[in-house]
Amino acid sequence: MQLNNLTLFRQMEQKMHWLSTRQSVLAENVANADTPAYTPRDLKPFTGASSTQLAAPLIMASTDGGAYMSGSNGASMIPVVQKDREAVETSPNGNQVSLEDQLTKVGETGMDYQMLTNLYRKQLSMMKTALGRNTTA
Amino acid sequence: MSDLYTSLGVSASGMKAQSLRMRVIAENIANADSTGDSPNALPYRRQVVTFADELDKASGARKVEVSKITKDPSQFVRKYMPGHPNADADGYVLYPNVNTLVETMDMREAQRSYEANLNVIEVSRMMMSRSIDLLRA
Repeated sequence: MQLNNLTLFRQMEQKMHWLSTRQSVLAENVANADTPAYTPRDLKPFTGASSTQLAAPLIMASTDGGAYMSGSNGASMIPVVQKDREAVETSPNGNQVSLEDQLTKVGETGMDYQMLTNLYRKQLSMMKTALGRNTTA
Repeated sequence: MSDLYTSLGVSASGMKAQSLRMRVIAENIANADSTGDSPNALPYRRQVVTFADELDKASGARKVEVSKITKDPSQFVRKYMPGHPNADADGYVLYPNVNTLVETMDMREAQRSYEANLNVIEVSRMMMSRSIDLLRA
């Protein structure tokens, strides 16, 4: 059984990927907080899967053809890096990084990630309950 | 996960750059009273660190590095000290163009930026260990 064929797991995985990419972009911004003429960047907001993407697992339920093996077809959400639109302050050396904003975002990202790993674990333990070999939950 | 490793590397580069800046500030403060060793010799000249963002080709991340350490071209302080062994014919001694207040502010800024990078590392590390913990779910 591939967990990624389940919509919820796939979406959680995508969001976690998005969050870890965002973390590295934010790390770049913080590291360059004193670099002259540096403009901070951020990711495009995470939109999740659209309704057509949600329907994808139903298509994959058919066992004939290679579609079954291909996993998510086109439903993957690739994080897109763009210029940080909230950056408005510019220091005399042309740097636009606001350390407070960036650290707020870092905290946000960390908390979201924590929430997702918790969700993932809960979901998994629920499935184990259904399988009848879970002892803890 | 590789994104998180990248973010660790980026933050580490930021910390390295800030600590080099700290070293230069320490040199400036330590030499704030270093006059030349003969009446016409020039005293210590203040050094300034400039950062630049640099594309790390292995990871595609924008790390930070010290691009150059330049000498501050501003004028030396001229003090009237006829009894000084290095005083010129009129009794003046050239002192370095170091303003300890400016250096102290610079030092604070370096410290804050260092802490910000440390914070990002902590969050990245938390995200990584949470991902690893999923294996125990």
